[in-house]
Amino acid sequence: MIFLLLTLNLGAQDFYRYETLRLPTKGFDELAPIPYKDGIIFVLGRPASASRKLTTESGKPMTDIYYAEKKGERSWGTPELLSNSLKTPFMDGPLTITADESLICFSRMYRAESRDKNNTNLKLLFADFENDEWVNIREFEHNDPEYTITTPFLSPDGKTLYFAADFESSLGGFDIYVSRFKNNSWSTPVNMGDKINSSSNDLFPFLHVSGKLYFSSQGHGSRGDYDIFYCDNFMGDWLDARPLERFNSRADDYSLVMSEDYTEGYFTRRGGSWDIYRFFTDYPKIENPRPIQRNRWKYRLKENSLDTIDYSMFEYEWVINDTLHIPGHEVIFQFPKQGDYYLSFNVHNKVTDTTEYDVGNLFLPIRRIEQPVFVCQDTVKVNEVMNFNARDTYLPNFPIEGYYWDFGDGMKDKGKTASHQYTSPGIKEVVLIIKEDVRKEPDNKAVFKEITVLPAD
Amino acid sequence: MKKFFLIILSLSIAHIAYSQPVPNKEENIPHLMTFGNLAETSWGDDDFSQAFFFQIPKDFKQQVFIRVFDPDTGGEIDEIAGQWNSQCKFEVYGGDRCHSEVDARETSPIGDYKSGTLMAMKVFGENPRYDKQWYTFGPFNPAEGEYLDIFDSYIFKVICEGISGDDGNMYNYYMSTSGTENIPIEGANAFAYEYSFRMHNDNSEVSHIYPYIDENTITVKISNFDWDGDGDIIVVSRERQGQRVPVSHEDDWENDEIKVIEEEKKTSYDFQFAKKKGNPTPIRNNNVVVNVRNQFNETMPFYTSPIGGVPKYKYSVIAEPID
Repeated sequence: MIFLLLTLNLGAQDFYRYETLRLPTKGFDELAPIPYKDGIIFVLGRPASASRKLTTESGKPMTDIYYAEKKGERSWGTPELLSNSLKTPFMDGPLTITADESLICFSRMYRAESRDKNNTNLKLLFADFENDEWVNIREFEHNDPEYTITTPFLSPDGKTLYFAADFESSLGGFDIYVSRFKNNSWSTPVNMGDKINSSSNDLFPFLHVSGKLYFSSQGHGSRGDYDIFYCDNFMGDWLDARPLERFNSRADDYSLVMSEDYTEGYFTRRGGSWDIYRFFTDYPKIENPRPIQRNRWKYRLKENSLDTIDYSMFEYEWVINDTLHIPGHEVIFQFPKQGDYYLSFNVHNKVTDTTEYDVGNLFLPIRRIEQPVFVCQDTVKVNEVMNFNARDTYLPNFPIEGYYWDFGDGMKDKGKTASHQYTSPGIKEVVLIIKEDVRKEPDNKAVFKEITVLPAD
Repeated sequence: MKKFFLIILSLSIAHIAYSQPVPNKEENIPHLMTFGNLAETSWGDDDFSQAFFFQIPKDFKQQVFIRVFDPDTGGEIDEIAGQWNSQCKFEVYGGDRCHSEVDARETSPIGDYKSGTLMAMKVFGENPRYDKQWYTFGPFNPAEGEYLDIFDSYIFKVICEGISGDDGNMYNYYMSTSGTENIPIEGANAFAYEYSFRMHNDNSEVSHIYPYIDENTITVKISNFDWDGDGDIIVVSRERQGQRVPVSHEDDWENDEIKVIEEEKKTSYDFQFAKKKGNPTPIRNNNVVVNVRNQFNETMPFYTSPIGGVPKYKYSVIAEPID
């Protein structure tokens, strides 16, 4: 088991730990996992010794699509073939599946069909899940035996398909393409451009709900053969690819998938063999963060019944805690500190020279709001340092274990103060979590604030 | 007439009073006022007559007395004109038509305003025996008054008339269960359709009278006489912070009409009489007459114990946070 804790620049941390999946498939290659039901679907490569005659061109074994159920925090059930109908003697997978788990898209070798028995290229197929079985297997209409199309990713609604292919239009090796399902057919694949695609191979697209596109690439300055990168999208344009430092190693790193809240996911690392890694975070869970509420010390004290204020006949006065007298029908008063305030309103009739005391009164408990509070700029530019400070937090009787920051872009940090550089523009929701320092079921307090990150000059 | 009875019914149900001094403490009026019939009206009395009604709950079975303070016209309280030469007649009426007669509810002593059964009468001139003393009429059996369902009460009427001379008689009433002291009657009240009274000489004092606004009242016509421009008359209600009305001057009437706010119905107005402040020669012995009428020109009652209590403007205060 491997535990690692990595850090990023400016002290911002990812708080991720990751470990190899303890699948009972020793000696097999496992890769390209995606969450499915109570476990994962992944691609399992049979040991070469088991099928010496059937290997890829690189000598690796053929693969099948398997499902493994998660049995405990770190234990997994024996992988089972996902479906006989999806299995061939050749390379099956990788794959992708829609959010409702009704549509699967997977790659398969052409040679699985007798008519293409010498073609080792990969193509994409779809299948529908009906009556507990994957049926209606059909080809992606833009398959071309001259090219390989693989590592598909379907949007949750199944209407957009991202994949890697070595088409003529590729900028080099495999590029990532996108096709959209409209009018009952898939649009002509479009190369996703040079922000994503390099002159080397680019594979395993995964579009996160945040809009980030994660993928694996031999280009973009990868330090291993393959590294995991991501691109932000700002107003329809893809920004420069950035390496996902915390997951990249000198080995090959592939096929990252991540939960919507960034708290867990999987990726594949190829050292000697292909292994699936699960990553997760011990960062405090964010539950119901609230906007930071403003402490209100300044009040407008106002008599509210009169349409017309008659100063010729009347004089008005507010009395605070029976000591401070403020003349006026409507006054602004800043309470000096928290406490209970009794306000009374007196009216003096100048004509009768009589005063009615306490014709209106209020009890006003002024309290400093018990909440985490942080200050930061409202707007910052990409790559500018943004400072965060939680010194104004007011949580009496709440033993604080620590201050945790979620910068809204997948990055996190710990400490009463923090700094961060955003790498992409947009509206970011920064969350401050304050964890209670108790042993059993600690309570967390969380507040958030939206900030605007502008493009760099 | 039917409409009037309905009006009265609504207030008789709502009202529980305890004291019958006339004027009442809340009114802060020193004395009622009636001048001899030879006086100048410019001295403050427009008709030398004042009628007051006393209301006794029907379930009250004890005998009652109507007492008059300082009934004579002479001495320290009353207003002399040359020499004391005036007489005032006090008459107590009960029985049928004592109140229900239309003329009885008018503001001027004309027609059958002395309706009902005369039950007691006494004429007072200058007489030190009664100066600053109480004179008692009665006892009366409450059932001798005019019983009216709309009030659920018996009604007695007391008329004071200046029958000779030109001096001013200042006096007070009290309806009591005792002939020798003032003991209030629970649930009783007193009212008039025209109020003739003496103002305080002290200009820091504010006097009040309380007309009742029934649910059918749309407008109120306020008439005041001989106020001598001595300050302000202000109308206050739960919905009215303070509205000045035009004031009369020497020997004239001044009228004004105000529109009733819906929420003011079935409550009382507070007419405040504030003398002019800072006047180096404050007007002394100022007498004033006031009456109010509704949109039908019907007179409206002033209750000495205001129906619904003394009206106070309803202020509403808020505190709202601001950035």
